[in-house]
Amino acid sequence: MRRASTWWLGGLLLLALALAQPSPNTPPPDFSPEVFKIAGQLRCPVCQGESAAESNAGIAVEMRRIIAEQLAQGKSEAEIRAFFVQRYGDWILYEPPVRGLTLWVWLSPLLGLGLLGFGLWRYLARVRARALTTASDVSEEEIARLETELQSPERQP
Amino acid sequence: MTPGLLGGVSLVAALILSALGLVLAVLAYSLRDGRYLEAAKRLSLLTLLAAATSFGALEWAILTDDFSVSYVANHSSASNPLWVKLVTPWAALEGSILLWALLQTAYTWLVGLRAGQSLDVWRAPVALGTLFAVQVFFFAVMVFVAHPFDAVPNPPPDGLGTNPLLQNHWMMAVHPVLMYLGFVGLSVPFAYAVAAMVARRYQSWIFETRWWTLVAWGFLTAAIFTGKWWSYEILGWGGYWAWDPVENASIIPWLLATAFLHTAQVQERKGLFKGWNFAFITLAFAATVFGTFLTRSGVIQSVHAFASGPVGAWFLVFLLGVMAVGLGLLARVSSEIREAGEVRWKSREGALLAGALFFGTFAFVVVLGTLWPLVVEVVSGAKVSVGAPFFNQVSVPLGIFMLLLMGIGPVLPWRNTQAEVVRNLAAMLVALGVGTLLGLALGLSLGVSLAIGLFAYNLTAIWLMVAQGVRARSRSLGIPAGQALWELAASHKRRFGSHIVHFGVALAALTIAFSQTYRVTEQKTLQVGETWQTRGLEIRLLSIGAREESNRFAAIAPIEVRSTSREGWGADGRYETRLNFYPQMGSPLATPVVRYSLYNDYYFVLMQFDQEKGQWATIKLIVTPMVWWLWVAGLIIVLGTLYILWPAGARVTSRQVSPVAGD
Repeated sequence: MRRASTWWLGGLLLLALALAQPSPNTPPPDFSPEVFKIAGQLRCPVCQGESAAESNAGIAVEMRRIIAEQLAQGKSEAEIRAFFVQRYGDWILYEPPVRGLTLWVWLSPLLGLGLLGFGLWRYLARVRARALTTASDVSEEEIARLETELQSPERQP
Repeated sequence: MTPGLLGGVSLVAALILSALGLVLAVLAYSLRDGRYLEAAKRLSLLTLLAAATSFGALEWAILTDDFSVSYVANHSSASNPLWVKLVTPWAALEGSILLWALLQTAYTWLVGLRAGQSLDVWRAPVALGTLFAVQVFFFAVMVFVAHPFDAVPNPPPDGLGTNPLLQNHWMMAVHPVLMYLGFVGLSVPFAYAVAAMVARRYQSWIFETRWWTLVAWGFLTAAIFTGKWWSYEILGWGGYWAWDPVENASIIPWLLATAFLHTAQVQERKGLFKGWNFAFITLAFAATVFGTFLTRSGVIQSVHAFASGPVGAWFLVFLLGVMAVGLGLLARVSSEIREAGEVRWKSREGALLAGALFFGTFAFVVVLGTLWPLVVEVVSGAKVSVGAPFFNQVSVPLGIFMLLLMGIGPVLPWRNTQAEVVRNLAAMLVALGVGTLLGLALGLSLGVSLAIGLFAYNLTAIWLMVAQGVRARSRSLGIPAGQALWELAASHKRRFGSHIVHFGVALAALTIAFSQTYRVTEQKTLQVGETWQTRGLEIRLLSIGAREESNRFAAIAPIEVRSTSREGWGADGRYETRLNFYPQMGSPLATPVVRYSLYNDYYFVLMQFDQEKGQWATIKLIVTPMVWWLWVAGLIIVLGTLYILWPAGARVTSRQVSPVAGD
């Protein structure tokens, strides 16, 4: 019984290993650091939020292979990126192009700083104005609070 | 009594009790009757017990392999090891919402305990009512759309198993819990803020929530660092931060909470900035819900995205509700909030406000960058990606400004600047210049050199602050410097704690600069016995084998590594690179072997192997400098936070705000 189950598990193991290999039993090519550097800027088309450098999905492995081949042909990084953009569109680039709708993303730090800075400036200007006019008045807030306190609530034990 | 029944019943009980608590809080407020408040406080303990019972029932169902419970059938397996079963409750959507709700009830109960001491009878019901309302939402989500205890009509012999990514590292037991403790913790200052705006007391809530905010912030920080660690040690890509939508979702509340921590100090000392603090804490709490919405709705696909379904829509409504309550109240009361005095830009409050400006901007950029692909798709139908290369470039200038301000802030006094301060700033700028030039002289890139400069600059700032304080004290009291330091550290816990935290942040920035700039990845296929010489290393493939474990199979390729030059220093050893096969996954999981050293980290991943003859294996090598120091930095930041929070023997009263402040 025990032997049978081990044998069965062993068979399952081999089956699992065979199924799990993304590609047939040939060794993948060797990749230089440049391959991973370029792949890291490209999206893996079938994964969720992984770059072609990280993912082990078949298509990402294939992309790394293509990058390595093109590097060997002497193509530059920009040319290789252009090749993938031609195939998949701008979506394949993790760095959005600085034009059209994605220009706004690049402007977002300045936008955010501008908006917040302007808000802060307006706010402080208002504070200053109010500090000058109502410095000695009793504020509405205080009046409201006095009113509520005069209703003498039940104190806690 | 089955676990499924017990869990379901206690969930409904928790929902009803939370709704009752909300009603009692409203009654206590509108009738101004302390007895209702007392009842609401007692109910908070009952809700906690009901939630704990429900959570316990889920654990019970998982541990007893009760596959008649849908959650267990879908996310657990009889063959899982005990520790995996223990952490399975937060391995998927329904269970993680239950954990969230459980922690929320615990926080509510704690607020109820403290409310008697710190909150008056006008605000306590509002704060408690807000927290009960949040609880109602979470329990309603579980009861109506994400029920963990749904019955399975024909229970399967075994469950579908747990997500293998969660079974690969013990950090998974820690990271989600810390994250939720942080997220839920932010609900407390938010509730106090709502109470402050309803009862129109705009100043004192900032003192009362000081500790709550810091507790939540500490948990968030710890969670983000443990998440990085998990990403680094498990996912096998050699990085710790991918700017994936869900990581972004966790950093947005952190950034806003950090901004709030700093602007809250301005309000404490000066009675300024009250309106902004209401806005910041509302947005910080809303950001936690936003993050959950992103992860649970499937709007944006990512590594973390859990099941989609109606849950996303519920969270969206809740998010809008939180924003409407916080910002709506603020709009109503903003005209009567009185600020004390004026901002002096050349003092500490100026630096704190500027810092908050940058944290706010950073949060804005992350929100926009995360959502922009959606916006573009809706507007033009085109698909774009906004990923790590963009965020990395944008964070550099923002990070530099924040590090500059981090040094300046503590050095500037609350009043106007004097000669000594100018001298200190000059010394810091010298450190910045020397550090940067040293980096350039060593042949490092400009960015990394600047990071060294900024590290030296912040170190100088901290050193000057501590040294000058110690010197003044030891002179005036005639005690040795060591004793003066000891006494100062004990009596100014907040100040010293913040120095520790700032040091941790400066170190983290340095390690991030190094590791992001100099990470190198290579891949090579080796025959058994072959040696690969690269980057000052000799890597020899020893053999290839397979092993069977209780919940997985593993293919193992042991390698022998020797360092041959200084570049590969500290990598020596024998390592078992492995591929793990989980029955419920189509493709294998490459679990890296990580070897930390004082400078470089070496990272070996088995990518592929010869499954017919066992002749060759493909090894990926990633060399990254200084990641180990990033974990040290995270630990320092958390320890600094703990130091501030640690109860003091004698309560040191900080100077109160001037009475003009309105309270």
